[in-house]
Amino acid sequence: MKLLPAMIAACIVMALWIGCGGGTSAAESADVVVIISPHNPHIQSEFSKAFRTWHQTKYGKPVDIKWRDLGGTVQILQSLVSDYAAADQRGEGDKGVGVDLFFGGGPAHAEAKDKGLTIPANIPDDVLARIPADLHGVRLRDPENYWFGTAMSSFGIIYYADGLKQLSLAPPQRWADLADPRYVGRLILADGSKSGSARACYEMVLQKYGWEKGLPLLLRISANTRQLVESSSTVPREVAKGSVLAGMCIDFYGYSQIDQVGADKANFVLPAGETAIAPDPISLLRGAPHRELAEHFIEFCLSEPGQRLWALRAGTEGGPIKHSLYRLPVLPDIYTKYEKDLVVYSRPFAQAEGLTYDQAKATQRSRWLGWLLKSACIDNQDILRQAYKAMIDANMPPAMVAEFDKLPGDEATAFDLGAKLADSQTQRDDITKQWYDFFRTKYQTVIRMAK
Amino acid sequence: MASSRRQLPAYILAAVAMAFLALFLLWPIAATLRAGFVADGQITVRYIVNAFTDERYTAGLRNSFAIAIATTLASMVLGIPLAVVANRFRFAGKRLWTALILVPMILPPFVGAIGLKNLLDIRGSVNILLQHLGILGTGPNDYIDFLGASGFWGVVIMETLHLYPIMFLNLQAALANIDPAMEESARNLGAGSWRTFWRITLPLARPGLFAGSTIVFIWSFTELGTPLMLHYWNVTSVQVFNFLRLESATPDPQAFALVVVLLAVSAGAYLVGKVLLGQRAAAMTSKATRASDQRSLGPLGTVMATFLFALVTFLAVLPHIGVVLDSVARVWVGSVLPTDYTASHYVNAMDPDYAALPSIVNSLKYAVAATALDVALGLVIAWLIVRTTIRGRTLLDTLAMLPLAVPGLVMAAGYIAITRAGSPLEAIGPWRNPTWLLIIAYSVRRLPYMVRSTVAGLQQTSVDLEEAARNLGATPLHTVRKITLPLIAANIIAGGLLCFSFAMLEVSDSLMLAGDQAYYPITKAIYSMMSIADTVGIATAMGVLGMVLLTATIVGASLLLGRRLGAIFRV
Repeated sequence: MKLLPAMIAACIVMALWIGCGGGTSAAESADVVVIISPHNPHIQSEFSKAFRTWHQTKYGKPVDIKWRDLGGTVQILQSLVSDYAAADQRGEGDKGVGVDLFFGGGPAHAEAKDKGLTIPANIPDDVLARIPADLHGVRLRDPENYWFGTAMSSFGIIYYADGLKQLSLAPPQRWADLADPRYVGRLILADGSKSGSARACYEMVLQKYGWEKGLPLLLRISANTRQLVESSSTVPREVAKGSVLAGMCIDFYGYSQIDQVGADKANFVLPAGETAIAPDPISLLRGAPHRELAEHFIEFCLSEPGQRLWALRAGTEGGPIKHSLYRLPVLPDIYTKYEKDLVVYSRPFAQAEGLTYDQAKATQRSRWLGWLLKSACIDNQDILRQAYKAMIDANMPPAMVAEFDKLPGDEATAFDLGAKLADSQTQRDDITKQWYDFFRTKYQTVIRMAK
Repeated sequence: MASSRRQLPAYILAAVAMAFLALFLLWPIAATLRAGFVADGQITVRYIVNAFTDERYTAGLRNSFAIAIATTLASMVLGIPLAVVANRFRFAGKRLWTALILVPMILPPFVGAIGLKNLLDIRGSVNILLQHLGILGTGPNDYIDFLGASGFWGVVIMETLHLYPIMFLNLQAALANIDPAMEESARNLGAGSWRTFWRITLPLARPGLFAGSTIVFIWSFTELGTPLMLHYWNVTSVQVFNFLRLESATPDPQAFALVVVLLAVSAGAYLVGKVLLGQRAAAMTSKATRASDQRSLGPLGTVMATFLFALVTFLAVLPHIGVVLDSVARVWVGSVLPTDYTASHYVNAMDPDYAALPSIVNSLKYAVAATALDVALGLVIAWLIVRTTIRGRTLLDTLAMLPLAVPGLVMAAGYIAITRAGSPLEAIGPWRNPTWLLIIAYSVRRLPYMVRSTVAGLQQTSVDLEEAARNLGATPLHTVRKITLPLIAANIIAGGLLCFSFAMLEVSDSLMLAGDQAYYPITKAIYSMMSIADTVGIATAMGVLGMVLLTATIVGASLLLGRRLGAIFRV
């Protein structure tokens, strides 16, 4: 049988060819923009198609987008920091790391600016003029043009009304409602150390109730969970299934889920006066290999054709082709011109100010809040639930409650520790351990007090 | 006695094989060990000590241990009755059922976990079915919490349903080797069937039990995909994954310290298994003088035996049926079966907008290349072991079998250690182009099976045939091509099919070593798509496609090898 050795030889040759060929990488063409983004595939595909058409019309040539996907925002930021550090060591940092734009990811863009990963972009004044620089005190773009908010998001509670009714619970209206002991074992939360949008939800609670009251609230809400997940988008999905009854998530996940399963299965509420708008930015990376085209993409995102994609229903004229995106545009004209085709319910420019949102504080805190909550709640989940249950069973005696609510220092201390944590891996290990031990001891004390 | 010069080609081949194993098996393990003991350029045991003193990590180790013990025991509960029935009795359809028993082995629990939640969650299919049947009420607290709030039992269930066939195979082989004279003597001396079973049969079958238990224990102790998919994070494997999933020039030494602990436990378990097996094997003084009698079962017995096999197989396949249903469901909420069906998930899986199709292409490429590499290496190593007398071939044999004792997670961490920034292999690291890294990782992990399969084939092929060819003037190469290879073709193909199917749905290396989406294999793409609400459906469709592919290759291998297939999965 001559066939077998020939097959084996062919296999080896193919192996070598495949190995040298590499993964399915796009051809390196001159007219391409490389974007690194945590945005989901729907956003990627709608923007790719619309940008191509727009660029052809305005600048006379088509441009393709190559999306690089490394997972979530945390991964992307870490990867960029690592790559630029290596490039700077070689003295080639200003030649970039092969990526043009960083798109999406919330507060990570302010951090990217601080770390020297991004540079100001040149955007035509007439485009910028149509977009307010800020809304209710929240900046919609960096004053030095390092980052530009392309869409806005808000944060709220997704819940399953029928399930709550069965338990004789009224639908939650405020963040604090989720701390109600009757929710025990019925909530779902996402890990703030992995999910940026989950972290933003927790930030809202802290901004509304302050550090002293807000953190204990988060502990209670966490003690009420049945499930902890990695990704914020899993939250509405599980609520719609009915095994958990409520959770916190970003607005577009909520609306998207409701559209999918129907308003009888899931509802979403923005806690009045307790939530604020957060911008979702885009930044130009230092040493971008296709700088001019990259700036065109930013321009597209900020002009009407790009802004329409966020909020119009799929299939309508000027809107996305296949998938609705459920995001709030930053261009006020969209809300008035396309009112009847919108898939979003909020009118941020028409509403009064909700929460007084300290954006700078939020940005600083986002670097360590996820780790704090992980140490306090997720890593200690079993003990936390036990302590909370013990407290409820004992009818919330003030001594136990005081112990449960004890904090590892005031807000300023937390910020100090947080800054150290964000800077170094060993510091992170040490500080998270410190927090972990503090909370664990505290919960164990509460359990002991019950006996 | 072959002269040294004539053995030169053999030595050269041996050197090449050794070099490959040294580079891609020993170096990663060594790098992992080093990374766990060195920080800031200094040797320290701080991180190893942390693994045993920091409550976070001890909790992880305890949970990993608990899962492993529970899974091993549960696998015994399932595997022992099946093996005993299969060994003792003949009944209609037995061949079919004993073949189907192996099916769960190739259905990855990582994918099944998706379906498990749909079935067993508090508002999952089983609970709703029980409500419809009136066994449960319809109040908000009327449900059976199969999975529990933590998810521990979900992990144990999924892993048991995947691993019990290994217990079955090992035990069945051990039972088949028992000299029936032993049992007959016991009977003659007046012992009843049950007593004979407990006092004679089972103890003599202990080698099989230990062998199976070792494999099951090590596997479930270090498994990453299942706990990850079920959100059960407090295990060492997930902790390691979380440390190493971020790109960093200086990965956290704590991660490697935990890996060292995993390696130590696995190696320890493996050695314990081997030592105990060695002792036991010596105690079996007489080989079976004749095949043991298998009783034919009457109609009632056939029904019972069939029911047993069918039930276990059904339970094992149930989560995967859940995945299939998920993949065609538009809406599946609060009902036993989906209420609205759609083919859109499969359509979208083919849509270039999503990462699905490229990942399937990637997996195919990696799997073909890894299989080719394994076939070539396996052939070389097996031939050196069986057909030559060069010195060092025992060492080569041991090295080639070593991956059996080293869990996938440990190897993956090792590959990360040898490809970090500054290393000569940085270019094939997870954050650059991990194509070759993945190919090598898959092939190293399946090499023992390939070598084992090829060795078995060569041993069964009489060397006389080759000598005859040589006497008639054929060159060694010609002999190999025309005589040896055709005779062992079935073994090679079967081994190759197993390598291919493993590489297609491998989990731990794929999750940890593919950083850039452009290079994602199927399993990583499934994992990433499960975290985005819009693409969950596509993830399930891809899971089903992967399972179909796997089943096809296993059926193919089984047709070629028949009963001998089981030989590959034993220690």
